This record gives sequence, structure tokens and C-alpha cells, in this order.
Amino acid sequence: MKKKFVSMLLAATMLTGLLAGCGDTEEGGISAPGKEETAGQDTDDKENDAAGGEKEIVTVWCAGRADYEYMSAKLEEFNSTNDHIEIDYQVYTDNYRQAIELAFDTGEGPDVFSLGYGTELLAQNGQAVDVGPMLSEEIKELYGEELMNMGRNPLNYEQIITLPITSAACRLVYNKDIFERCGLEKAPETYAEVVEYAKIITEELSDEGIYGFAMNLKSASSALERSLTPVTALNEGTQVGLNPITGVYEWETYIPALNMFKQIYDDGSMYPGSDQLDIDPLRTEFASGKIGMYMSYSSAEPGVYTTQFPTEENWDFALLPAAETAGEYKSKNPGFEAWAWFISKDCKNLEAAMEVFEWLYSYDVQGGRYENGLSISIVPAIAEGFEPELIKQHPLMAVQEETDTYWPTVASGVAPEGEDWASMFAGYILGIPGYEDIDAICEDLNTRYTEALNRGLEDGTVSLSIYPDMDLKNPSAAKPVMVTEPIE
Amino acid sequence: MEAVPVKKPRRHTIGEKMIKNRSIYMMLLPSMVLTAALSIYPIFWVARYMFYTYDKIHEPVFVGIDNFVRVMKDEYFWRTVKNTFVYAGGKLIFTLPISFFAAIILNHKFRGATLCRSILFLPTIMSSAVMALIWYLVLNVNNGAVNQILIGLGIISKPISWLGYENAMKTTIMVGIWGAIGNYMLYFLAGLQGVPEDIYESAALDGITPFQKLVHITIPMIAPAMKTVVMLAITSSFRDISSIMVLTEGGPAGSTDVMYLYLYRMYFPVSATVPATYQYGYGSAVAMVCSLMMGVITILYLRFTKKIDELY
Repeated sequence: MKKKFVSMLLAATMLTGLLAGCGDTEEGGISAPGKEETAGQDTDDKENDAAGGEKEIVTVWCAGRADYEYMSAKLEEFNSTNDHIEIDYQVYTDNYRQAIELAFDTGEGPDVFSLGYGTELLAQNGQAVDVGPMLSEEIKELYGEELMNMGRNPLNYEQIITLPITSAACRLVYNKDIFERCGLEKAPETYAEVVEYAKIITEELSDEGIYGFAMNLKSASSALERSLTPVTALNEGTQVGLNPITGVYEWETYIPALNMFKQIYDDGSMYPGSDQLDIDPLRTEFASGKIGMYMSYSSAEPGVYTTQFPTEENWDFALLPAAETAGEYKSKNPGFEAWAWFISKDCKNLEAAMEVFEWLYSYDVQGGRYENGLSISIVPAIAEGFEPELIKQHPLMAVQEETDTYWPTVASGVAPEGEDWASMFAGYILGIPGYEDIDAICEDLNTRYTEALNRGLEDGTVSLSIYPDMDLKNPSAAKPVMVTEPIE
Repeated sequence: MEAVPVKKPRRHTIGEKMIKNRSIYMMLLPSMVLTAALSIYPIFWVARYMFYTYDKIHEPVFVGIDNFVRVMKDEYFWRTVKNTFVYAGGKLIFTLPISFFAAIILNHKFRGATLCRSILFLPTIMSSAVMALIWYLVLNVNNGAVNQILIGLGIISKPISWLGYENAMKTTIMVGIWGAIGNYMLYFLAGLQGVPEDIYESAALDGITPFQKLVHITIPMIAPAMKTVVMLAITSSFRDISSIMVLTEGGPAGSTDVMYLYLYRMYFPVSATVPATYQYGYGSAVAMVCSLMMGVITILYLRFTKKIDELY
């Protein structure tokens, strides 16, 4: 009897493990993407409606479920009140990029789709139609010329392929309680101050397991794209190693900011295990009051500490530090367009898709998202029209006209062989043998990235736009010049 | 007497044979289609695109052997190859003997043998990504169970950075071993259970020692199964990336980056803000080089085992 019980227990345990394994393929992002339909929608029913000629179905795909509940309610309202269009809204939770590319390859793609900054290339290369001539006066007035220019295709500047919705700028996130305990009255404003404050906090509180600074260096690119890249763009005016005015790689411009992080690490002020932290484990440590400062996107953290990892800690945002003198920056902080909508060239009913596109960009839909803390609106009329609670608590969550801006894309498709910049810079920060000589690292990166850039320009796989008239204090106003010849 | 002509059986044509055996072919069809679509077609796909630059966005551009020249010059790729050998070698050196001796012990009938087998086999049925995620939490520097237990027992005074630069490779190997033991133990166990009991009984009458029994009976009797198990262990250790991907993502600074993880990133590049660049052409060349290396290792192993067979 006992043996039978043990066997049954084992079988149950093994089944649990097996189910965990099955669950992983859905959740882990390695196999098929998870897909959800919004509440109250039934595809079959909609198809039946369409077959009866009652309503045109417009398929809309997007990634992430942060605004799932909000959009469900809005869609229900749209679908119940609109007499000629039914929106089939699909939210993908995993592997959205692969899913959407595969769908377009097989002719199963959506009519309207959202893409993040990282996948713009797909849209720029012809998958998205030019919506410029179809935009209504109402939308043109709401978004204005500057924002419409941000939606232009850098590979074909005549086209407006999207409109920006949200902006997220990087900030220094700091724990005010910890600062207060250490007698620090304000957030650091320069690289030197960040190093100094991290050291003070560590010296004062490391006995309690509290350290001055943290980075999520398990994924070097994730860590450095939310810290090193924006702080260097702000202070040096380079974008992912490239000088946007000349199109020349200048990885050495990253050295001052790198030395700030390295000094923090060498001082022992970096949170132990930062080299193996993902961003969420870092946030849990911050939420439990173990970390003094870190850098991240302004859009995400308030929601994280309200719902994902609720915290009692008194924290806030500060502007990214200046290289030398407080408040003096060479350029502007690259707020990036988190998600934007596009219309597919394969769309059968452009008119209906355009109506849905404009609804998605409407004051009503986007204003509601902003009001509910689901995005930081880049649209002035929306930003002025609402007072979201989270922004009242953390004013620097919002885009700051004086320091933040949208940076246009300089190069797309550069694929150097070998170790990427983020991994090499992480090696330098962590003092890993073989990564001590930062000048040699930058020289190697300049050589390899330039080779890859030129190789791509020759075979047409790299798109390079330079901005010879760029005012680094106002990068978004610069007009691109396409480069097709190799860069010296 | 008139000879009776012998009626020769008529040979069936291939078509007739296929019709006659149609149920067999029908049963084979699904797996044949899947093999063709998921194994054979991708090989031809890779064999074509390894001569192209192809980023999925632009039209493929024929570049001849340029991709292979890049592979040869790609220092980081060769570093991942070195890491692969360290990882696979470390994993194999420990996994195979431990699995083998666990199988020998658990092949005996004793109280709790089934429980022990099930416990050892449990990691195998878990998803390796889930398993690695659990290890990631357990090995956390600050609040992971391992460090807390070791500090609590007074074995260490300050937390060990298990996944930091100095320990990352050793830790990933350890997790790999933990996940693989059960699987190979089961294979060895299946081989051991095929050894007839009467051989052991007659050897026992001759007064054979346990060590002699192992060397002169057990190992030779399960040698064919062992050959296959070792082959499987070698190939899977070289291709194992899922636990590394979860534990370290190949870091810190590439110290645990293995060649198939490098290859994976060519096809699934990930970046939060920098536009992702697919390298299908170069990735295909890398894939071909990796496959050739695996092919060479397999051939060397088969030759080695053949020599062993000849010697014994």
C-alpha cells in the first residue's frame, strides 16, 4: 500500500514536471508564440458576420499585454458602435517579431500591426504603406508636423509610415530613503557624483546588504542600452557608436561613461552579482530596499513598483548625469518611440484599415492610455489634457522638453562578426581578463563595425542615413541624407 | 514422361509492392513528411544560403565563399568553439561515469531502488529551461538557497558568485550534468537489464570479484548499448544551449558562450532598442561549419570504437 502511494506520488510529481515542461514551450519564448484574443471576441462569429456582408474585418496585431484590459473595453465599444468595421485584435505575448514576419511571409499577416523600435526595418523596407496622403485633418492637427516627421521613413523620407505614440527616456532611478539615511540631499548630477554617492551608500549601509548602484549585466545589451547608450548620446551625441553627422563609428565616445560604471564596480559599490542579474531580479532587490541607484526607462518603472513588485520604498527618477558639469549636456536624451502602428501593404481594404489606424491614434484611445498610466504620450495635446496619477508622483516619468527628444535612426542592418559592443563593454566594466584595455576595445569595435557597415552598404543590406545639418540639441529636426558609398 | 513446366513466381513491380504494402507506407507517411520538411529541407536551405548575404529584409545577395572566409576570421566564433569543447568535455567526463555507476547500483534490487531511479530521472522530464531557471534562483548571489545554506553552515563567510566570470562555466557544466544524469542512467539501466542473469550466476560460482564482474562481464555485455549512449551524450552535450541561455546568456563577457548559442543569435537576434539584424547567410555558414565539426567528432568516435571492437 505504502509502495503504491509512493508510486502515485512520484507519478504525480513527474506529471507536474512534464506539465511545467509543456508550459515552458508556451511561456519561454522559444517555441510558438502565445496569442490571446481580446475579451468578447469570437473569430468564427466575426467571419460569419463578414460572410453575410455586414461588417469589414480589420485584423490588428500587437505585442505585450500591458494595456490588455484597457484595450479590451475600448474594442468592445468600437465593435458594438461601428456599423461597418469589426476589429479582430490579437495580442501576442511571446516571439512577436518572429510571428509577424512569418505571417507576412506566408500571406497571413494582419492589416494593421504594431512594431517596436527594433523592428522598424521591416516596415521601412516596404511592408508598411505610406499613410501620409490618407491622414485626416483631425489627426494631422492632433499630432502636428514635428511628430509626423518622426513617422517618416528614413529610407524614403517622402513617406509617412507611422506616427509616434509614446516615448520612454532613460532616467536614474534612486531610493530616496537610502539617500536620506546617508545624508545625501539630492540625486547625483554628474558622473563623478554618481560614483561618489554610490561609494557613500555602500560604505554606510553595505553591512545591511545595501549597495550604491546596480546593473542588470546578465544581458549586457539590456543593461547598457538602458544606461550607457542614452547617457553617452546625451553627453557625446553618438548613437549606438555612430556619429550621426558623419556616419563614422566613434566607440571611444563611450569611454567617459564606461569609466563611471567601472569605477563604481572597482570601488565595490556595485550590487554584488550585478553580472548575473536580469532586470526583474534587479527590480525586486530595489523594491526590497537593497539598491541605491540604477538606470532604466521612465515608462516602465512606475508600473513595475505599483503592480509587479509593489514597494514601500520612497523612490523617484532623476535626470541622467552630465559628464562634467551639472545640467550641461552636449546633446539630448534619446527618448525612443516604444510602439507605433503601421498598415500592411498586403491589406485588402485600405480605407477600413485607415479608419482603424486613426481610431488607434485618436485622442480618445491614446488619451485614455496616458490617463491610466499605460503609456507616456508624446503628443502635446494629450500630455496637456490629462493628469495621470503616476506622473504626479514621478514628474520625470514624462518627456522633458529641455532634455529629451526623439533620435532618428542612423544605421540599420549593421551585422559585425564576433563579439558585440555590449558584451565587450561589460567585460571592461567587470574587469574581466582580456578586457582591460578600453582603447584597444574601442579600436577593435570601430574597425569591425566599420567593416560591417561598408560590407552592408556594398551589398545593399545596410541602410545608413546621416544628418549633416544636425543640431545635437535638436536631433529630431534634422533631415536625413542617404549614404550608399562606403565610409572611410 | 512429359515434364511438367515449373511455374515461376511472377515478380511484383514496385507499384504493385507499394499497393500491397500501402498500409505500411501510409503509416510511414506522416513521419516521412515531417522529416522531409523539418530535417531535410532545412539542410538544403542552409546549403543554399551559406553562399549568400541574407537578412530576411533585403533580397539575398550571392557572395560566394565570403561567409566562410568570415567564419575562419571570426575570432569570437572560435572562442565559442573552445567554450563548447570545455562545456561538452566537462559535462561528458562527469555525466557518463556517474550515470553508469548510478545505473549499476540501481540495477540491484533493494528497498527504495525505484524511488532513487525516479528521483534521478526527474530532471530529465523537466524542461531544461525551467530546470535552469530554478538553478538560476537557487544560485543567486544574495538570496539564493545555496549561498544561504553554505553561510548558515559556516562553510563560507561571504556569498559565492556562482554565475560570475570565474565560476560561470563550472556552474553551467554542473547544471548540465545534473540535468543529464537521469537520462543516461536510464539508457545504461536498459542495457544492464538485458544482460542474462545466469552469466553472473556461473561467474559467481567461479568466485569472481565485483570488480572482475564489472570489467569482464558487465562492460563487454553492454558495450553495444554503451557505444550508442556515449554517441548520444557527445552530440547532445555539444548542442546543449537552453540551460546556458537561461543561466548566463553566454556571459559574462562571452565566457560561457558556446557555438550553437552564437549561431542561435544569428537567427534570433535580440535587442531592446537597437534594430535587430538577422544574419541568415552568415548563420548558415556558421551552421555548416558547426555541423562539419560535429561530423568529424562523430567519425573520430566511431573509428575509435571500431578499433576498440577490433582489439577485443
